[in-house]
Amino acid sequence: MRKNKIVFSLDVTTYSLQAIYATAYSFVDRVYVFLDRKGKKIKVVLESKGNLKKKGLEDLKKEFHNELLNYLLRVEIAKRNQKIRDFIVGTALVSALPTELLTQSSKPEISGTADWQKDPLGIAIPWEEKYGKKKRKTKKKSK
Amino acid sequence: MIINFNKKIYSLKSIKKAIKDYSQLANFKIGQKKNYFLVKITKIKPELKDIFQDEFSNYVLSLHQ
Repeated sequence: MRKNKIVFSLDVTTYSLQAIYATAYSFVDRVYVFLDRKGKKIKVVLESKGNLKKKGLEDLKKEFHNELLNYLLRVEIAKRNQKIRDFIVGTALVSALPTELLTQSSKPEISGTADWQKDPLGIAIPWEEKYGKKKRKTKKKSK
Repeated sequence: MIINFNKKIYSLKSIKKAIKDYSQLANFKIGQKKNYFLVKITKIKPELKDIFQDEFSNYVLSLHQ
């Protein structure tokens, strides 16, 4: 421990990098944070922006560890609830859409069925109705 | 002044963004050596000299959020 500075290390297998970033971010207004990595250990350097004594620096380290646990849990819960969260947000966004937009998207289907009922190409006429009479005429000619 | 940013912790993207944002306050050069990105800082504004390195490191770290 140097003047105004405390150094300690964290195990990457215990604490995720994401949680360490989040914890460091919550401290940047009070201390200067610098991280380094050697193997599976992450070295954390906390340097106070104001004057702190040994006790103050030790308290800072403890607070960092507590906050780290807090963020670790947050990250874990966020991972677990991701699907349901995405679903809720998706549903909320769809329900927030103006009703005009929702009805517009269903209009083409309605008009599509209307076109089909009109049958402008005449494809809904059965084969017998369309070509049945011609066959009879050809039979008469052959007789 | 040279700052060594570990490649496994600090991304090049956030270092570059920080340099861009701090470019008015000093001159920067980026290099790399094994597991580290090296940022050489020169011509720092005299009134910021004492805190520049620490503030810059904090800013790079905060960009990871």
